[in-house]
Amino acid sequence: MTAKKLLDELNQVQLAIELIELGARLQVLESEVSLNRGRLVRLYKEVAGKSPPKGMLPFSTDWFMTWQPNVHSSFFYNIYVRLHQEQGLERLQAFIKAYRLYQEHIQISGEEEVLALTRAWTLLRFFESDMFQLSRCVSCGLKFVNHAHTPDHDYVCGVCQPPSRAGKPLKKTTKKQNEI
Amino acid sequence: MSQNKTISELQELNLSYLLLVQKLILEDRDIAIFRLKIDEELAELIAGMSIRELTILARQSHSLLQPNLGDVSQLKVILTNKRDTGMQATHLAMHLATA
Repeated sequence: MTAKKLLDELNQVQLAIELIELGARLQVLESEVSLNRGRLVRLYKEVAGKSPPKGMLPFSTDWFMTWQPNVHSSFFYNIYVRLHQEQGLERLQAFIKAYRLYQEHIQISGEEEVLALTRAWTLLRFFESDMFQLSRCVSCGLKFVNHAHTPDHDYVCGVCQPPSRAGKPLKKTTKKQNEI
Repeated sequence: MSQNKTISELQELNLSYLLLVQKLILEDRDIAIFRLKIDEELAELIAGMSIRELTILARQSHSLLQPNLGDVSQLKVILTNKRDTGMQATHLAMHLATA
């Protein structure tokens, strides 16, 4: 094996480790990392300390349309677009850095991490297969995840016009009360 | 006299800012460009400046920092949103990420 090939492989292993640490499911690794399945499973066990969860990935676009996930997904995707399209970062690098920036915001603001890495990756794939578009909110001017081919000239986002029962999740309020 | 004091505060702020910019670029250039909203060329320049150059720049009586708050009317809409759904921080972060 040539030195170049060994280096390539090392890079792929590092990439896989980074993705596993961020919470990637095996399916994400299989399509983004060029290592065979057996090695990926072994890596997963070593890094995550458990066997990769079985079962299919959620494949519905509906989750991204529900209130809180829509805001978080839109936030994440806007960062990704900035890094990938405007700053010219390579797709996967932009994806990983955008996800880290998303997590950083969650940590700073103390909000719930609604968008797991595998969900974020699914979102990216949905955009890449033209199932989603970004619609500009007429009130705040920001762009939100929306089904492709939806008329959106009068689109209003879920933060400017939240659904009637929207609010902080109950879990969090009870937690705060317990702390007091 | 008090004006001089304010100017020296500004100079200090300039220097700390430039040093922070250098640090951010060193940590992760792409993320730094994203956070600071500067271009590649400026990042390159500041990253390569010597302490002497940074100090001369910082000593100017001009501010080297400029507010990066995006479109003002959009910012107003986000800040004055009456419905508190616990989303304001994320809404703001999204505004700044695209500003």
